[in-house]
Amino acid sequence: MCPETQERVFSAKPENVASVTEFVSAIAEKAGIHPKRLLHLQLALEEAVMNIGSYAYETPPGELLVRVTTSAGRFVTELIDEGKPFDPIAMDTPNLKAELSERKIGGLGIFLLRKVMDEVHYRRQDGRNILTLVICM
Amino acid sequence: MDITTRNDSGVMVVKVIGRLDSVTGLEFEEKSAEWMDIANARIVIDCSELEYISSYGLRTLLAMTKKLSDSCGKLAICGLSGLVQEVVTVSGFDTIIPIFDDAETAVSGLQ
Repeated sequence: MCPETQERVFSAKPENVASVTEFVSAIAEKAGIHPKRLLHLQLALEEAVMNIGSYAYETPPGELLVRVTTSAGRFVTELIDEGKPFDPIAMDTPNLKAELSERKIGGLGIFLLRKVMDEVHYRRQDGRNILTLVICM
Repeated sequence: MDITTRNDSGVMVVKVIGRLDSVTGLEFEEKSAEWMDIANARIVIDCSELEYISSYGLRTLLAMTKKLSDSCGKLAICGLSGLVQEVVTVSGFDTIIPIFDDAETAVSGLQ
């Protein structure tokens, strides 16, 4: 199977979680992704798009380019923004054993994203953040 | 997201159907404020038909737990499966919110 790429530009804002998820899910379903992994993908997309939509741009909304590549055994989603440099992989794991009164929710989304994806990569290139989410099929 | 509520022996059982995320979270938060607006509220969130939860959804559950613990109320969740169970467990929420197999045992647990 030759790699096949589809992409679409969205406005980088939290309200666009549903449209980004819909765009990528339709391709994933067509590629025959397992329903359980589809939920993982939707979770990772929601967490990533919420982050980019909320924090990437000083003067929001900027652009979010979503590029999906399907190849043999791999389903790859790239989220590309031109916002300030942000490496989610470098974030500390939140304290998951904290008592209720000390429990903070910040960082949990990125933690979940990393848990449910098979691979997560980040690179800064030509003034863009490129976050790559990979599911092995 | 659909929500149904019923009263079982003084405990409010809230069944959340579908998805609890950044799209539906605000509606859930607004409704939950009403449920908690009684003295010593005891609430069970029945997740048996909840397919999907994100960190936004977890945040709403955490906020409820904190609010209820400040007002001598109680919150429990039940019926976890699939992604919801996975997300709740890896986030360590099972150590701060009581979890029961089903609504019946959760209601007894909050008596």
